[in-house]
Amino acid sequence: MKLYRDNPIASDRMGILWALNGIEDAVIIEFGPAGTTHFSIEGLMQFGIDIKAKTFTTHMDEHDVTFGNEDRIIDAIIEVDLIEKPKYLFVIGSSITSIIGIDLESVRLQVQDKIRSKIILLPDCDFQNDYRYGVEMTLKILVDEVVKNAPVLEKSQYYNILGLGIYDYNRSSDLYEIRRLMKDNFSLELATTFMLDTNLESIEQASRAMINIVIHEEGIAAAEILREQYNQPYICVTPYGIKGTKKWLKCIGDLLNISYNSTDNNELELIAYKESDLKRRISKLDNNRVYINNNIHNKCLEDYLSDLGFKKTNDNKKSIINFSDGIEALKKPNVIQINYPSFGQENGYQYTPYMGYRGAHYLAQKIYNTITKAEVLN
Amino acid sequence: MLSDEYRLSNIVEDKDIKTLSKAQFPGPHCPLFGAVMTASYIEDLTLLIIGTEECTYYGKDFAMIRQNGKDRVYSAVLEQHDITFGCEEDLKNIIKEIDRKEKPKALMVITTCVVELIGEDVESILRSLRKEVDTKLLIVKTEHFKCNSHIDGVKKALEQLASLMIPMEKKERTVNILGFKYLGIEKTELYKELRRNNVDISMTIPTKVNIESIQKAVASSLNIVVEPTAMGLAEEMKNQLDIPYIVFPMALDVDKIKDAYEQIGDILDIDFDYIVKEKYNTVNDNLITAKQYLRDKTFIYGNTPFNCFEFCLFLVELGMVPIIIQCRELMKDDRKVIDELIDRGIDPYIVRMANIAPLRRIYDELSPNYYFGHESPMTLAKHNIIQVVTDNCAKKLGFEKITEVIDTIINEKGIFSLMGGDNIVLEDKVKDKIKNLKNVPKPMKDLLMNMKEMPQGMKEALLTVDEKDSLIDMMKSHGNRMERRH
Repeated sequence: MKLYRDNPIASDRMGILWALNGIEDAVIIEFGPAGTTHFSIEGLMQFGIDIKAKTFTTHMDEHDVTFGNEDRIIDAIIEVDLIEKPKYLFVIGSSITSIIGIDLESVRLQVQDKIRSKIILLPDCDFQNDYRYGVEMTLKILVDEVVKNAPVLEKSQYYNILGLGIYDYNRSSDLYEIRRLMKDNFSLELATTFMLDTNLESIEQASRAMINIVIHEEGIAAAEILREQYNQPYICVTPYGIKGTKKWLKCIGDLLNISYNSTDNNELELIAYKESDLKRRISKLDNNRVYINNNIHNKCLEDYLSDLGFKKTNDNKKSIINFSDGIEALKKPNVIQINYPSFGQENGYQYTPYMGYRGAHYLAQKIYNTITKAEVLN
Repeated sequence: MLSDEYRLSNIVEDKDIKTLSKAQFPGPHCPLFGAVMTASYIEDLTLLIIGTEECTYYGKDFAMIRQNGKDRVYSAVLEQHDITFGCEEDLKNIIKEIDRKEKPKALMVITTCVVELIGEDVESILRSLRKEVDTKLLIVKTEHFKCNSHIDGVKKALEQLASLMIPMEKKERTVNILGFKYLGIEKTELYKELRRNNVDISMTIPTKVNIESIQKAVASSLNIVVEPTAMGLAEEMKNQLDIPYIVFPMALDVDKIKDAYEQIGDILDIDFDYIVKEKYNTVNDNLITAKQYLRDKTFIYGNTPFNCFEFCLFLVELGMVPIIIQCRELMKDDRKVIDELIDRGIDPYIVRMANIAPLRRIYDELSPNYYFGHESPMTLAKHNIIQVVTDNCAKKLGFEKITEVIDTIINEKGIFSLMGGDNIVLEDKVKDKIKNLKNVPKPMKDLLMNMKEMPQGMKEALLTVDEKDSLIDMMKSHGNRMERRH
């Protein structure tokens, strides 16, 4: 048992639902107490997006729990198939069905022949993994059950993104910047992100992409399957800072075996100047320690901050600047929000990326200003 | 979809109430939500939620939003080992740690589905700790598979507060108001009338309390229960602390309100005849006027802060006809009201609430005039159904409640009436602006034009928006958020 004063780390089950709720036409049925579904639907509001996926619940009562009755889920599947007519029907259990040992595979076998939708079972919660594992599993399932279910398409000027979801704090701006860089440098269009502003038809067509761009590690397992199945190479680098973005673009260019058009040099020069200016300032700080919230695992971010001249610390009271969640960012002036949870904060404006060249500019400015705030208020 | 088995006349017990579909959306809230909602009114009460990451994360989230980030919610997250072998030792250590580090005045331990499912006896664990920790320990069990909504959690959380109280000498003419969940008790008729007669209101619970005021409330000579969820607390305070209570009715019944005033008057030695003279006849006149306007109008009951059958009986007495009543769960006192409805020849369909998706598919077929409760205003507008949301009526206590409900219905106050506090009557320039908006579908224009009152913020937004802009997304977003809040 673990004690938390702040939000606990989200679970694998939460990650699964977060991933699926980024797919506009996903239809999900949960077998569990209704309050879990109601809470999770409301919980999505923290991400500030208009959820179009549909999540239904069966609810459960004492009788279902005592006798392991599966009637509710079977009836719900048949009903949703009839009314919503989804091509794919995602079915997920709950902590209760995991404990009482409901076998959703047997439910699928009982009901699949009676309906038109293809049932996709999602894993039981295992009470030990976090949301990133849930996202990883969901991406693999989407590739195995949706992409592989569709005809193989000829490769064309497309790429996929893996590992960027509704639960990523700066997703709108970062996605916009990545699309800009891919278009400007390689003339490639986005096929699907698998779990952000996408739909099942786009996911089915993922095989047409020339390359997979993995933003966070939870996308690697799915990218491996896509590489084996469709001979799609992938890159797993988060493009932070000028150096990181250059490396990212070079890797993509190398994998595609194409030389790329360089971004506007004037803009790049200005960003490089701003980044150098920030490095000079950091080099003169008495305290150059940076803290990154334990929930954020991103080596590229750490490398970027180290390249700027920061030293990583595990003590958030000794750092000059912290990268953390929205709760801490609300309470402390020296915090730059980089993940959730959050409340009462809008982040829909999509021209303030942390990633890519423009992200390097914006982040340099944000770090510079946050240092000033920290110095003034200390 | 609806057959005679759904009819009110076929409802004998709670299990007879059926869901309209097997797959529910969004489904009811759980008791954990109810318990956290109630407990988070009390600013210095510390909570420990025991459960999965999911339950604790969302419970924490909810409390944080309600308390503007100043919540005192801890989470004890179960791991695989705890599920298999139990969590007694870990839990004891956690409670001792909170006691040592935060020194809370009281710690409400909330258990969730999984804790109850694995049979962990948290109540005994807390009992064994009572001598080892300084903090007062309270327990609320919130397994959702044993009930159908959040109400159970509200009741249990309130009931537990009685254990914070210790007997003390009574003060004359001092009362507590139990079950009032809103800010602004001072603005209510009941409060004003009590104060006018020099009665002190020691505690209004769950709002306007902290642990100290809960403890002091024991000196009161009477509890006035204004909401059924506080009945358990009133009973506990009567049994443990010998404080009598009277029920001030939620029901929209002038005679019951009159009786309640008289009962309070008898106990506190106050003559409330003047209120009856002033208000009883006025409210009755209002009811007669409303009847002329609402006779034979049909409605779907979604949700209100009132008991669903009592509220529907009130509307039936105004001449209205229920087509469907969405019911959270059958309460033990509902039988009498149900029988009264049936005796009047009223036999609507009864379905389990919080499942609007299938209902939406038959709006056209049912074509009601009104929908009482939270629904997407856009969806209702498309089907020419007038939305009435009575949430604000629960902030009234006394004869004023009936007046407010009538006013809400007659003025067709929908979900947007909950936005902002200052309602402004639609001015001509706002109406002109609505008429001239280009990318706005007709049902939405009708909805806006039919709003007899509009929150100030929404009016300003309309006046400043470009006439060519699409308002659909803005309205959808507002509608969805308001709908989800329910």
